[in-house]
Amino acid sequence: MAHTYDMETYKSQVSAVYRATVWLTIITIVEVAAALVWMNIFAEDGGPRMLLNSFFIVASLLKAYFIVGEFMHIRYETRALTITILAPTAFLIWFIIAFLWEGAEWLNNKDEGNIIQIENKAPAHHPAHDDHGHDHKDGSQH
Amino acid sequence: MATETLTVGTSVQEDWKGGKSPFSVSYGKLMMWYFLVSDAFTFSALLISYGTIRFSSATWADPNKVFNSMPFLEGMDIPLGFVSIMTFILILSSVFVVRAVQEGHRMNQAGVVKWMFLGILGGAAFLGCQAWEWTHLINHGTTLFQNPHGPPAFGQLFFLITGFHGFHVFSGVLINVIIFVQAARGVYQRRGHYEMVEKVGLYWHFVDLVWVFVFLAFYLL
Repeated sequence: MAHTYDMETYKSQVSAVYRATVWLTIITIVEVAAALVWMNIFAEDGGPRMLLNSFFIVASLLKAYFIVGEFMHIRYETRALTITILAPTAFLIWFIIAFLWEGAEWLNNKDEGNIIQIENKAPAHHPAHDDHGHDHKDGSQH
Repeated sequence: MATETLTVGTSVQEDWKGGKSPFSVSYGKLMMWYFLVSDAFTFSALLISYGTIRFSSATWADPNKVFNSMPFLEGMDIPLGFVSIMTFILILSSVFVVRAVQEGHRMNQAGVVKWMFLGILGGAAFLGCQAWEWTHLINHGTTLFQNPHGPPAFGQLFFLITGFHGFHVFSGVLINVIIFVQAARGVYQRRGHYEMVEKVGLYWHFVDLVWVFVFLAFYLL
């Protein structure tokens, strides 16, 4: 599709791109600076990482907005196209929560004497397994 | 801003009655977008598996200690210094390609050629930086099977994910070179439009977008 742009539109689009570049640069510098300052303030225990991590995630999403919106030009596309591209990423919300939750649960299991390992070993000791019903955490299943 | 994004109601319905492209983009550009959506899910799966394994580990590597070296400044402790430069190079490379797209809209062949060339240089510089970083890490004991800074899984995930991203950068540079040569030979000038530059540009910005999240997962969090 050939586009014909007048000089005015061209100039405003070029300056919009450079503005986005400046924002991306500033955000990246602030992120790295925050990491370094945090590292020095909370050298002992790392401090309330949740706060810093939330900032990193918000800052990264902001960078993503500038790249997708301005560089990939999606701010200027039709509404329908924008929706078909962006709506599927809503699945990522479930994806992230479910899998990080599961990861934390694995760590829990390891901490509590690793339930997974005991159950995996069970078939190898099958004759003894019946004698030691108390291996099961929940006796009421019998 | 395009005015058609603001018109709602009947005109939106008219868009879907046939005879024209309701998204007002060409087939090729639309398919590039959908490819990028699927590629975004591939990268999401990799990064989320990284998160899952990290959450399941009692300890993890501290990025400020793993990534603290610079070329030519061997032995100095500069946390996140080199990766900041890499990030900036990739952002700049992306900007150069946007400029090439804009010059293409104006049918300015010399401009497209110039900005594509700078974009390719940026991509190649990023790959060079990554090669140095990988070599440095491997020489200091972080490999697929061991990692002096924490769980071995860190090394494995780092090389897998930055490698997969790096391969995207590598193929992006190759594609950019092809577009650069075509533009320089006047293929698009004769065709009457520079849409190929736009399509390849979308892919190139996507590579930059993925780096934002690789940077987040491995270097910041």
